[in-house]
Amino acid sequence: MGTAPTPPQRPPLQPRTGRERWADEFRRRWFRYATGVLAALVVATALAILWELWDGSGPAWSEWGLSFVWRTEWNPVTGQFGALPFVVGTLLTSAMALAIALPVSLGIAILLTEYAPRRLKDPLIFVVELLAAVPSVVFGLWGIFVLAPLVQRHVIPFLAATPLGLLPIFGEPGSGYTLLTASLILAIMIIPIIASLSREVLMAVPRDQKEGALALGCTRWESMRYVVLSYGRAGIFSAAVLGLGRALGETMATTMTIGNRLGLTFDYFEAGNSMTAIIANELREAASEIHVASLVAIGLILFVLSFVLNTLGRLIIMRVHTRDT
Amino acid sequence: MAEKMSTRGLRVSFGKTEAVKGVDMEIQAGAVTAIIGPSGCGKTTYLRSLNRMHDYTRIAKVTGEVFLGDRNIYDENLSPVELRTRVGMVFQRPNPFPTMSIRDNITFAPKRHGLARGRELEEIVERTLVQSALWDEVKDRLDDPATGLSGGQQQRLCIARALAVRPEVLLMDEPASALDPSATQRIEDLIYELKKDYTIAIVTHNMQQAARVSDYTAFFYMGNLVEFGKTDTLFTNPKEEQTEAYITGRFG
Repeated sequence: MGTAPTPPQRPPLQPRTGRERWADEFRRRWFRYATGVLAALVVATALAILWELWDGSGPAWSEWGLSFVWRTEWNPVTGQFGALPFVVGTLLTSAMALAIALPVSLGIAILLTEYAPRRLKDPLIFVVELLAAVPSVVFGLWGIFVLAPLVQRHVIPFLAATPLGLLPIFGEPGSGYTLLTASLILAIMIIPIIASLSREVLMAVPRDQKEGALALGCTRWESMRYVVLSYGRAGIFSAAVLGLGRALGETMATTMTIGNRLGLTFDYFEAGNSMTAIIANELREAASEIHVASLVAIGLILFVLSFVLNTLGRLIIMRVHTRDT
Repeated sequence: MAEKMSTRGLRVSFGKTEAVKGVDMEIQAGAVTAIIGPSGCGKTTYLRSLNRMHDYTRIAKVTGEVFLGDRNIYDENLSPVELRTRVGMVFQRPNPFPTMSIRDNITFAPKRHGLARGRELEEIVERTLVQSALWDEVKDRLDDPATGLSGGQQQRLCIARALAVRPEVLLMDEPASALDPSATQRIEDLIYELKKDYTIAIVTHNMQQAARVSDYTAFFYMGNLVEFGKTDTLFTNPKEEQTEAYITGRFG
């Protein structure tokens, strides 16, 4: 038997000198204040934007008050302005974009988590994420040269011939620059976000949830549809909210394809306008003070709308979470 | 007693690693068969091959034969989906479906398979919860979320859920390892009751548990079945030296 190894000997703990204590304290505080200031900057920026929008749109509010939101006239010559056609255009295109993008994105996410073989999976993920990196002006160009003619010649005539054509939101076919065209472009643009977030949500669902359903004699699809998707519903919902947020605020691609027609319309086959498009189109040429103020007021409405939708989304997610746990 | 399931030359490998290396074994009807062995001995892998749970693990490869009655369950003419309604499974961690109520957890599979509707579903809920000794604790709150139950209750709910599709065999993969001693006790009592109606195979790393609940015990080591026999014989008079070393606590 050899001797037992001796544990390492270290000197006893020494108290810090006054100077060391002071330095430690200083570093701790300095770090706390520095991060605090940085965080406050974000909040300050948001508030500054809100103030700027409020201040800049003052003349429009004092002229028409809250009725500016639902006034439908927009005439720079007579100085009559109202936001409703643009609010409606934004809501219609974003809602349709989400309605198209959500099922497609879920399909992609399900394929990537459950069915795609490894060889196919990584390239697919790469392509989907690449789609998110395409500049929106490129989407807009593609919309003008490819999608708009396609919509005019094929999509609209086809839809008009189906029973869907009887819906009041689908009217007389016209040009290729329509609410529908903008909705389709937006849908393509938000698919990568919703798909990759949903994929992460589905990947995070514990394996024993899926296996629990399989062990009960469910098919792979049943376990996906009724158990895995249901488990991840809060996450999928937030992916959809984020996608919707992107669609609401998208400017370039929308402006290039929506048709930029003035006047209220609920018809997806007609040219329309959106809050982002009207600002992008007219702000530079706006001559009168009331015209500029009206455009800024539309910006404020958009800001508030995005804020409200996001908050609503978060509240719903929080409710689902607390109910589940 | 007759055998309910048996395996012949069963091998399971994941890529280059072979986890089960040719196992011949019987699982007796109306009895509890415990599978014991140190971590990584292939006991869970073996259990999961009995209801084809490796089917969706891309790198898993199963060869050999597994019989349920006289049918090889890996026969390509047999539906793995139907097989799993006959050979049910309870997992290591309780896995109730969190978005469903207690009632819906149980009725989910019978509804999907079109086995029952309306009143019959209510009967299934009551029957399975009584069988899993959970009825008295939850009968007044069947519509509450399943995740509101304690861990032990959740595991009994999972057992009830598995019973709802009327399986013949119940596979249990360390069903009490995530539970406290009193919840473990209840699960063990329950296994004792359930073997009257079901054939049970249970994987456990707890030798006392195997000795308490099972009629037969299989000792696995490094992917091989080292010894199989009646539980009291195997624990009191093991034939193999490795078995003796393991049950006396010399390794594992």
